[in-house]
Amino acid sequence: MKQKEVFSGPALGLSVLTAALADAAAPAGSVRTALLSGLLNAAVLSALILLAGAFWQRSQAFRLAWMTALPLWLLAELARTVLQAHAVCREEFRSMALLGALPLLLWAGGQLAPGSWNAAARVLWWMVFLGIVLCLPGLLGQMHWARLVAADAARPARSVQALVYAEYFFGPPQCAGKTPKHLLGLPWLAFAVQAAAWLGMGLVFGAGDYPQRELLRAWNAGVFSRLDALLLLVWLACAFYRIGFLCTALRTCLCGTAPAGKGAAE
Amino acid sequence: MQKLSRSLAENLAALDALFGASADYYVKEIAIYHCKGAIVLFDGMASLDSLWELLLDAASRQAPPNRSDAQPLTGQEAYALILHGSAFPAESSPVQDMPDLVKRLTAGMAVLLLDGCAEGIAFSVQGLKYRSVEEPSGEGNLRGSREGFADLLRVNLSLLRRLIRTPDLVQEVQQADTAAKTEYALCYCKSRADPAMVRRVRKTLAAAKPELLLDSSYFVPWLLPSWARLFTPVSYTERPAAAAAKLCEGKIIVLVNGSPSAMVLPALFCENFECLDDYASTAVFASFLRVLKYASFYLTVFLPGVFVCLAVYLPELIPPQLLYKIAAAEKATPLPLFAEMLLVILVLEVIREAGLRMPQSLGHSVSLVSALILGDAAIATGLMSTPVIFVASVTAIALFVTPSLYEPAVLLRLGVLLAAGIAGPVGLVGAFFAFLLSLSGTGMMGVPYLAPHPFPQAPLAEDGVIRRNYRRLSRQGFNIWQDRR
Repeated sequence: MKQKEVFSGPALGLSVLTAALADAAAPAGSVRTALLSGLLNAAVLSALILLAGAFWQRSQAFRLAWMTALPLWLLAELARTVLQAHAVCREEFRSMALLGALPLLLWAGGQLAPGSWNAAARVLWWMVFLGIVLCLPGLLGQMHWARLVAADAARPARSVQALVYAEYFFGPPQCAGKTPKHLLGLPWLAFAVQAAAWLGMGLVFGAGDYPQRELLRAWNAGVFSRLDALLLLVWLACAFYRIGFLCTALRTCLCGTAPAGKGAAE
Repeated sequence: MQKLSRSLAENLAALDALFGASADYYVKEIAIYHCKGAIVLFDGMASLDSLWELLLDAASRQAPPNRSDAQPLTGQEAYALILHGSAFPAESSPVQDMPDLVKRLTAGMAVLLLDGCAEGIAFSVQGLKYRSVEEPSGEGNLRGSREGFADLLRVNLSLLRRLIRTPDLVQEVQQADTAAKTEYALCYCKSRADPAMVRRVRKTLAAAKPELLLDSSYFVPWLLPSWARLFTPVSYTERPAAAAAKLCEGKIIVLVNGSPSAMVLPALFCENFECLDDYASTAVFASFLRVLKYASFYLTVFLPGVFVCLAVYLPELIPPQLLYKIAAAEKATPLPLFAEMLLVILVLEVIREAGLRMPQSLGHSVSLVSALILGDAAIATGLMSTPVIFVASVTAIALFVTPSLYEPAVLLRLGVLLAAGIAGPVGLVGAFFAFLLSLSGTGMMGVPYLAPHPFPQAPLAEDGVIRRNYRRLSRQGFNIWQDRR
């Protein structure tokens, strides 16, 4: 029963989803072109993950370079997520409370084992699922194909920037050189989030150039006229998760093995 | 270790030095088969009637065996005759030293000491008065057994043995290293429990040195040595049927003499929402009840915090009609909403504690005073608003649905309320996240408290938030030590 604990697919997926939700912005060009280039990006990234896994097994120098670069990348992602979460707290809730909670989050990240993050991810995935279920009916009535088509015709064709995260390349270090299949799905998950945001913005606002959060503010269902704060809170919970998750990932990366922290199989 | 002497007088003098001042210490010198001896017991623990029937009457009816030299039997010969050459129902292992003698006497046995013999013979003639096997008041059930554990360890062990009639059940009894030398039992099914974990628990309990051992829960700090935790991955039951079911799942039961509460380890979070009745009713209804129980638990933890957070920081999320009513009610009260909610929750806890600790007859008066006078007067005088009282009442009632989670739920509720009241929505999310991490970080003996199934399997698992037909569940038995990846 005792085995080395690794991050599960849903745990890595939730982390990528959180980052993608924060990074997905309305495309500057046509949605159709953006979708096509996004598809291409995801396919290329999946191939890169496979290639990196193969190189990991063959080249010692590559492994060394990877193990030097990955912690730095994770650290950069951690800092970026903290800044994104803090911006949401400050701008949307006029609160600096994240700064107070940050030491506790980092401490939790240093203490908990990957198994704990796997279990927490499952609960948060259900919350995300409920958030999507709540979000869709409030927006469906405001979506019109005509707006999307008109917006597409008005905008020039431009490719979009791919969403690349450290989680994509976390497989070999934690799985003894193997690349688990679920890692190949991570770029596609990020693309799905991006595509949903593009389509949503296009269908609701057409060619109008609004910030992404306006999509949440457009939500409306009967007596409940606003839901944006609730959905932002769900994202914030996921951001808290990502901060702690990245801390544990960083520790895992630096220690070489999964930490036997609190909640780890004794 | 003081061995028994061959001299009866010396043995009796030693016992007299130990227990002579005790009113319940009983010693009677007798002659059995013309050999000098003494019966030693504690009055009220051993039954003189039984001893008379089993030994003394029968021995006096029998003629002593003749020796060729017409001499009376020596102590050693009488000992051998009673223990090995007669049908007297003596304990098979003789008493050889003073600690063993004290152990047998305090277990309610009568011990026969013979002059000229350095060993005593113990007779199980316990006549202890104990609370009878009744239905436990803390665990209500509609169907199934009505029996509850009693206070006496041996009775509790027999209740378990009666339910699991296989050689698989092991009941190891040990004496704890406490001032009172209390007995405890470690019960498990040897083919189902993980042998390594059984060894580990056995070792931990043997090494534990509680000053007193009045309940199985006293062992928890030795089993889970972390300094602070919200959730404890052990559960308790007073029902032998529930304990037997847990044993069949491979879990380990710890029973302590003098307590009807059996500790089950390890436990899962989801087990707080399950009961024996679940399996007696239909799968659909049982699933419905489980969903309600989960909802009640989350309601009791988060509702006051969410209410304060929405009303104070995010009023735009509340439908206008409801918001007007809350605002109108709040205008009439002098305290801010957060302070009001905090006050009501603390008062409710005080009332609950008063009702629990008071004698039952006074407990009803406490409920009446709190419900009628405090509740009604607080609203009538405008000290508290109706929405706050309503939310606090719903929260309090919802808590009674999962009594086993009372302690963490109360602490979490206060924590969530404080976080949401002070830090607003960010504090609410932080509190939720702390709750989530405390749940996911809890585990015992390699078994995580939360089922580690990936999304979206767990709630739709065989026996999770909802459950499948019992016939289907029975096809694949559950064992806590199975690979739970």
